[in-house]
Amino acid sequence: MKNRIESKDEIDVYLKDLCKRFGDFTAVSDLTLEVHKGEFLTFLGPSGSGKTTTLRMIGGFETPTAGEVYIQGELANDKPPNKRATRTVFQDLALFPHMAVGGNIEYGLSFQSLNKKERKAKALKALELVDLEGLYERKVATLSGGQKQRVALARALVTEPPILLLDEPLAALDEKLRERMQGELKNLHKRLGITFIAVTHNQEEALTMSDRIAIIDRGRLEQVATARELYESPKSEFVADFIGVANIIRGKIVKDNTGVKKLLSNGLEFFIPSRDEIGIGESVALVVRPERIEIGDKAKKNKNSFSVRVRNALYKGASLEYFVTLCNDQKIRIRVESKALPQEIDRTATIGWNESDSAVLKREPN
Amino acid sequence: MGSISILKKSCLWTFTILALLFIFLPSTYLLAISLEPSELERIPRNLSDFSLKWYIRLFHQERLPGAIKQSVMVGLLTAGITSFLSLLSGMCYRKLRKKSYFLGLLIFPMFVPGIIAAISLSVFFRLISIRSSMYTVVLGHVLYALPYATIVTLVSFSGLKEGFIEAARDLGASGFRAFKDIIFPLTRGGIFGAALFGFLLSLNEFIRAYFLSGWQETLSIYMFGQMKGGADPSIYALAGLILSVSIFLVLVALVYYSFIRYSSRSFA
Repeated sequence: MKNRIESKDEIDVYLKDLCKRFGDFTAVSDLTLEVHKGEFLTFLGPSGSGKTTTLRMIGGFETPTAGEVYIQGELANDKPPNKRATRTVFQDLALFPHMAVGGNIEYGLSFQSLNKKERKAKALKALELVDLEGLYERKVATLSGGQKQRVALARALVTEPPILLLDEPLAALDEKLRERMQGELKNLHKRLGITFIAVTHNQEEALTMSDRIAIIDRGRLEQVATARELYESPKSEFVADFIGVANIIRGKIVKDNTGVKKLLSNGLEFFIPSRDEIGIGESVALVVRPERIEIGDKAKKNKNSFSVRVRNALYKGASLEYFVTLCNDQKIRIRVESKALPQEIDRTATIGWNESDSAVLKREPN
Repeated sequence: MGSISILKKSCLWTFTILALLFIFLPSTYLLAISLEPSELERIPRNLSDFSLKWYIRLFHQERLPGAIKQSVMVGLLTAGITSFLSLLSGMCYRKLRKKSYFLGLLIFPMFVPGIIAAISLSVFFRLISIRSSMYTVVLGHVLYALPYATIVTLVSFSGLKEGFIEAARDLGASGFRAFKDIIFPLTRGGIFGAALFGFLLSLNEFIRAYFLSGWQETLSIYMFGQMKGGADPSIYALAGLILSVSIFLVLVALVYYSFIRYSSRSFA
């Protein structure tokens, strides 16, 4: 085990084959990931998927069962949290109840050689950074949820760490506040230029704030990419389903009578985008996003067009959602802009999409 | 609303007053008869009869100062050792996996009758050739006070979320700084409570002291001797004095605690 990896200045955190087991339960397995310096990376996944455990291993609050954590090029497995270059904003904030706001923020500075005046000056600057001027003397118990959140941020940032870890930072806030804070966190990140690593189960949050998103499911890293890549080129059904809404059509690759590769699912054939590595007979899943499907007469001009039975229609203001069923009992969900649909849709309709509006994934046959 | 709640209230108050009377009447009676100058065991007839004669007589008792000093020293040692041990328990409790086993083991000594504990300790010390002394009394008292003191400490530790310690470590604190800056300020009350319990329980304890004492008796042993030996009413003065001092100490503690709570609320 090397103590330093080759100096890749662009990598702030490198996780190699990281595993964490609690007794019989495996929380994280074989996780390998590089976090680039200065980026905003979010671990996104359902509850219990191991993302918080991973973050805690980066921060030093859990010891990996196997694998390595490198922080700024140095092996950090055995380093306690106070010796790491990371600062954490905890999910429950953990503001010290026996200190005022100023005391909380200055606590991290008390380990540096600064005098009282210097510490206070830095704390006041940190309060300014998070828009909480004037709250220096306040007791923690008197703050609102949003204010507490910002104090926790200020407390972590005042020591100017190169890496900030955020564990479900917006989970405790109500919706309006959450939206606002998403924007503010993004701005803070841009302004400070340091590396942010966040954990959330909220998809929208991840999509709004992050440069890249790492999708975690049941302890495994499914895919790490930009939001757009995840949405348009998901590498697994889980990712396709987790980011946004997806229609997933499962089946086998067959050759039709003109020699074209198509997907056969429950008796119905679909045109698919060509991928050389997908061979005949392979089990695949076709992912079609709801907004890429047309409905109505104009849908007929698409290569993939089918008659459907319309089960339900939802008016959502800016968009309309249709829940339809193909003749092979496959359920499909469609989203259309309200203004784009001049006609009324009946009990039966035609839907269609081009194969370029879909993505093909390999899957294990089950 | 109305008559039903008044009925409930008056019942509640009646019970409270009766309970308080039940607790305080015997000691107050002792206090009253200690002010009677004659050798008769009675409450003074008129106000003019009230006399501090027996209190003054106390100061002439030969063996009394030594007994008081012994009790206080034993009490302080018990307080120190007990609070330290309960602090250690508090620190490790949060890391324990079988917390209920620990609590069970802790509570268990409370069910052993005092005299059994006292005699078995006395026999045990004799077995391993440790002579009776102030220190054996302290040991007996520490064992006696430990369950109560530890519970008080554990209660204050329960308000200490693990997250606080993690946050402190994250910000740069070593184990020692985390203790000094976070753990201790938040659990101070519990540790002080443990010390208080240790001191008070030890001060008033008789049976273990009786069996484990060396040549120097504690206050409770002295008083027992006096009662057995048929002494003058200065024994009642001693009881009155102890009662007054105890009440005074408790008042001081109450004022201290409410002052702390008041000052932490004043910014709300």
